[in-house]
Amino acid sequence: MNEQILMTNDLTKKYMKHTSVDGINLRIERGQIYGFLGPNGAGKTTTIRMLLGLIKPTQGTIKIFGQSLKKNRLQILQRIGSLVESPTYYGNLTGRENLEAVRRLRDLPEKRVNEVLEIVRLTKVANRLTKEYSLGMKQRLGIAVAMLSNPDLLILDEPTNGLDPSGIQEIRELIKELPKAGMSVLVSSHMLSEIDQMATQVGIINNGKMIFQDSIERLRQKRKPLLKVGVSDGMKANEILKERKLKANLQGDFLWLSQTEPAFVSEINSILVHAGVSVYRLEEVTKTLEDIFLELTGTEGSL
Amino acid sequence: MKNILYVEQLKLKRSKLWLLYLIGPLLGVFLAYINFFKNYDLFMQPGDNAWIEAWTQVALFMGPFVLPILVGIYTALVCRSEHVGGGWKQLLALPIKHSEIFLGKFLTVVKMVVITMIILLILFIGFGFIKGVEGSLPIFTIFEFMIRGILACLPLILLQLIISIRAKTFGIPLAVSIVFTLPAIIVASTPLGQIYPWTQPMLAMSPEDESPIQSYLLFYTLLIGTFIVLLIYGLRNFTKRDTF
Ligand SMILES: Nc1ncnc2c1ncn2[C@@H]1O[C@H](COP(=O)(O)OP(=O)(O)O)[C@@H](O)[C@H]1O
Ligand SMILES: [Mg+2]
Repeated sequence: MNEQILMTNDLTKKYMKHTSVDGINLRIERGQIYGFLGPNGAGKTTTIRMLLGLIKPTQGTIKIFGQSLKKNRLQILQRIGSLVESPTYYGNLTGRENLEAVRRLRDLPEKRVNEVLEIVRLTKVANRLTKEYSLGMKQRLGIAVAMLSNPDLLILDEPTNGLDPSGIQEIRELIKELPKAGMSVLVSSHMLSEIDQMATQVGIINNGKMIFQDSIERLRQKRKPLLKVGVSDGMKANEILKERKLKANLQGDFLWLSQTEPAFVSEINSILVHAGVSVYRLEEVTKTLEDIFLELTGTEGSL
Repeated sequence: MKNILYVEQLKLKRSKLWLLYLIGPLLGVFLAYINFFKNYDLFMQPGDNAWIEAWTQVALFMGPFVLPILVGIYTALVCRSEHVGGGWKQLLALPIKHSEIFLGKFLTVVKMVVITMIILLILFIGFGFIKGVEGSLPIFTIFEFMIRGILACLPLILLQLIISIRAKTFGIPLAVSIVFTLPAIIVASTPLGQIYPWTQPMLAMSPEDESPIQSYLLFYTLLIGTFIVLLIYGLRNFTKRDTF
């Protein structure tokens, strides 16, 4: 257990002066669903391209399955299935022929084509030209291609892009099943809610820098509830609490405190009321992951 | 490599390629015979074989004109599906050597040129008989010209392939092919012609006494030289590329 299957050290990619990926240390262990989260332009795709050897890092090293990507690219890629950015399709071929092309190139058994078609539920349209496919169908075809070789590591770059809510749900359920078969998954997204619902591990990237990397539980723990106090005179209330060495944070008309136990809440109430400040609201507020995100990245919640 | 070639062929499915296979050689053979019969007395000196003289016209029209444009279209075609559907990133993330992908595309275009040339040969002989070209048909000599023409196309195929891989649109490689093939006839009569990929096919396809080549040894050395230089450059360029 806890076997590291992917590890980058100081991974960096510069385009001219602009640094797209800035000293990233990714860590993925076997069986994890690693959610790679970041707003558009954060550097997710650039990172993934480097992991697949499509572009070369400006700096830093990549180790996958314990081997250096630089030295053993082909052996490593043998065990990886990937979908990078928009899905690839040859429009003049049917869905089945698209899969057949990759199956031939990877030298896989014929039956795999039907199996993955079934998994992504494209069997019915398998013999239609892919240029007639909807974006969602193309996306599912891309996932089928990635899964064709039954890879040890599946890398999916924004696989739910362009899908409708039910399609997103479907892909999510599919991805959640994969570790049972021993697969590890790296899935990128710019939607926190999506990662929240399927990842076991999260890496958050912003402006090319990794700003958080830990289990999803750790991210959720940052969601400690706060006490929101509505008072008639915020400034005065703040002064009173300060005298009693109680730390509060004044935001507009509300005071924010970091404890929410009933005894503490009553005490605050009684202190303020006795000091002549009228209290019209005492509320326990739980931060959403979006709020945490806002704190981490300084960007809007949906990224 | 067998699988790569199979897949390259598969990707050309439903691309109306057969139309090109027909139109190119038809054009070459038609123009050649029209010119041949119009200037029959000029071309036919005593002792000349009519078939050889007619083939000279085919070499003249196919070589510097139809063939380079066809090569331009063929190479653009084998790269287009990758540019349009985002195929490069999928293809290059597979456990296949990048050099094999490049060679697979190269050999696929070679195959297309071979098919074109065989159709050209069949049309040439067929129309020749219909039009009643006199004399005995020197089939082996003409077959040899055809083989030489194919070999002489190899540097051009590499060059166009390198351009097609870089250019995302269909138009650019085709425009390059047309622009550089325009002066081909003029270049052919200069020493530069022997290393100019757009003239090499014509020179190789022409009968000895009709071409400006002094030394065939030198010509084929230069041809092989151009080929090797372009092959090394193309492979290096493709495998070292950093933008997929
Ligand atoms: N080939 C390139 N040349 C120059 N800049 C690039 C190139 N590819 C990506 N970038 C830049 O790198 C940054 C990260 O892009 P990307 O990795 O695609 O972000 P994400 O996938 O997280 O949306 C962006 O600012 C983008 O403009
Ligand atoms: Mg991206």
